[in-house]
Amino acid sequence: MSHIYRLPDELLVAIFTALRDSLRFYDNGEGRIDLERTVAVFLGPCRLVCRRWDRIALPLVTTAIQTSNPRGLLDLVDRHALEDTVKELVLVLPGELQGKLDDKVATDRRLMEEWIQVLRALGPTLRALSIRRSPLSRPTSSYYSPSTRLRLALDDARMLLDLPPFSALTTLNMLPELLPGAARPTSFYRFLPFSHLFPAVENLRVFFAWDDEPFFTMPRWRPLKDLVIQVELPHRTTFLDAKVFANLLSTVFLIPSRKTLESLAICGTTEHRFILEHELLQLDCPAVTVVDVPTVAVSDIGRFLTGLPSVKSLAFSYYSSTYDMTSVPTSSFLPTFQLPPRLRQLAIRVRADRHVHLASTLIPRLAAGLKVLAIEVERQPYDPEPNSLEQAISDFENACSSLGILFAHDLDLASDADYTPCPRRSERHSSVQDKDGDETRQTHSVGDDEESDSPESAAPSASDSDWQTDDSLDYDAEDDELFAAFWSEEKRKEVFEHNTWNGTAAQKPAEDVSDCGRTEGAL
Amino acid sequence: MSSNQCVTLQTSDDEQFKVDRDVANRSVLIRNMLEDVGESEQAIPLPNVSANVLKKVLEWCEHHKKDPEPLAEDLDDNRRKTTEISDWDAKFIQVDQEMLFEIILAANYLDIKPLLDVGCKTVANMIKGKQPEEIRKLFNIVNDFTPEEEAQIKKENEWAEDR
Repeated sequence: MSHIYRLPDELLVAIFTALRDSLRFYDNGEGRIDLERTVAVFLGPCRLVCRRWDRIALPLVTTAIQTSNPRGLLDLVDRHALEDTVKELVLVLPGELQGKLDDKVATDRRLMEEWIQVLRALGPTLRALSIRRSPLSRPTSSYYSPSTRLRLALDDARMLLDLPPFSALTTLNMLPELLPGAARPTSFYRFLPFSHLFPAVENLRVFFAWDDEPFFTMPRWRPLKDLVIQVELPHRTTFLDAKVFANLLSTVFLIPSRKTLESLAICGTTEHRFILEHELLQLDCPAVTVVDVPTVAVSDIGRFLTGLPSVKSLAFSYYSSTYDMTSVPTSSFLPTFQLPPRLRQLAIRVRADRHVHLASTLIPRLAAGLKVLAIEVERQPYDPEPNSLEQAISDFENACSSLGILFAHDLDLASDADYTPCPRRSERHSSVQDKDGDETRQTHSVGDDEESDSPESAAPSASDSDWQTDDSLDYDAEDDELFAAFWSEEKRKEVFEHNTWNGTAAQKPAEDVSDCGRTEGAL
Repeated sequence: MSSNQCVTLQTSDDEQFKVDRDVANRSVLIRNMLEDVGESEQAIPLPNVSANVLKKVLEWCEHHKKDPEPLAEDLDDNRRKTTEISDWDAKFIQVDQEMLFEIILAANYLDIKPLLDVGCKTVANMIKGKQPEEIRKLFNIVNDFTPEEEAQIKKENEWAEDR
């Protein structure tokens, strides 16, 4: 007799659970698709070993299900009385239906009715529900004439409204895909009549179309913890006025949930960025730790960060208008700020012609607590690339190197070949350069004509009003050489009282990281 | 009673093991029994564990005697990965199947959750990626399905690949 027969059922459950969980390693909260696959691939064969294993493995296999076959799922649920077992369900809407138009229509209606049956059977105990489209899918309503579409949408709505409440459901992902009359992914706006079916939702992933009504009322759910918004914008639209969108965020989601929200993501095409001007941008989410909003363009980083005191991971786009960069006379417009104390990962997407300004804004604020800084530079296809781009990247590299921050960017620079993170600047000499280094500095220093022509791309200087009153920032004295250009005259006199500062250090790339190992020799 | 005091454990085959209390305390069952009986020289009976298995279990307890007690949330954390078995534990658990399942049973009986976890993960790793016939052969399990039942389960499993 096999030794494994001696294990009681509870221990076989523990073994199967360990098997099921073994690939949750790949589940980062968004990639849940791997979970269903894990369950199916790894526990499916266990069902076929023997009757006892089938009986024990079946509830675990069916805890999380992804399927495009509602009939098969209904049969499985009925046969094994699994109504209370399925906790996570991913409905995959079909790809292109086959056959003549009548056949497609018949199949579409059958699938819709079967999905409603599935939701009726499993809804009350489901904890997570996601709707996905097959990559090949075509909106089913495209098969119908407008009048038929309307009639069927009303039928579908009646069926949906007749569903029992999903009282245990805390995670809802793109349910609007299933909503009636969807010629495209149906927006959250259309979902509202059904929102009362989901009173316990905390984690929400919804879709918005740009032409949605922005002032609808948030369903009376409990405050959200995680929110993912996917936004659709018209083609060839760039830099849209964010007023509508900002209102949408503040009135619908963020005000009811701002105390509890832990994670916020706004997805969309990155060229469709929303420029959130100062008066519109006040997220004010004290509990949020992950903010992933590359579609949101922020011009006032300080103000943006004020509302995110607990953020650990942050991604956004930086946008600073020409007005911002050239005509702002006071520091109040670009107030002094520091990065949030818990911030560990920062990713910023920036247009090439704004990159220098970003560097001058951000570098003095970098702090050792930050672990990763990633800069993605968006190049404009028809605009000449600013010559100062490499200089700004180099400044970032040097600042990050001195603070022990891992720096990544997407530009192909010659200096990248030598770049490796190195210990803090305080552990090495800061001013010695070899001959090659000098030549490099000259290449990228203020002598570049293009830089002097363009205020936006000009290297930061003491005349930048943003920096003149910015002496209180907390960075190491060893960085004096690098940051002296950002200081007021008073501070420079104070620091360099007994030494000479040639006034160009900040505009030159600091010594290459590869110099770390040869500093002593140079000395 | 100081933590360095010894306790005596008596196995199902009447062997006695004298171990440090902090080693024995890795077992929640033994810890509770010690707390119940208080100061006592009497051996603690373990009627469900044989000497050769207890010896192996105590080897694990000795190695892990200074580990912090697992938190409740750790025990419930279903994100633990099979790959998280430490090198020492992996080497420790390289035993024949009979001993492997005896250790799992003993860990369950003695309520040593981290050891039970190691055992279950090890068996899970043995199963992972294998076809039903391979699993049957590995554990010497008899296929008691009728062909119809087997066909039905295969059909039910198909939704897993239906995406």
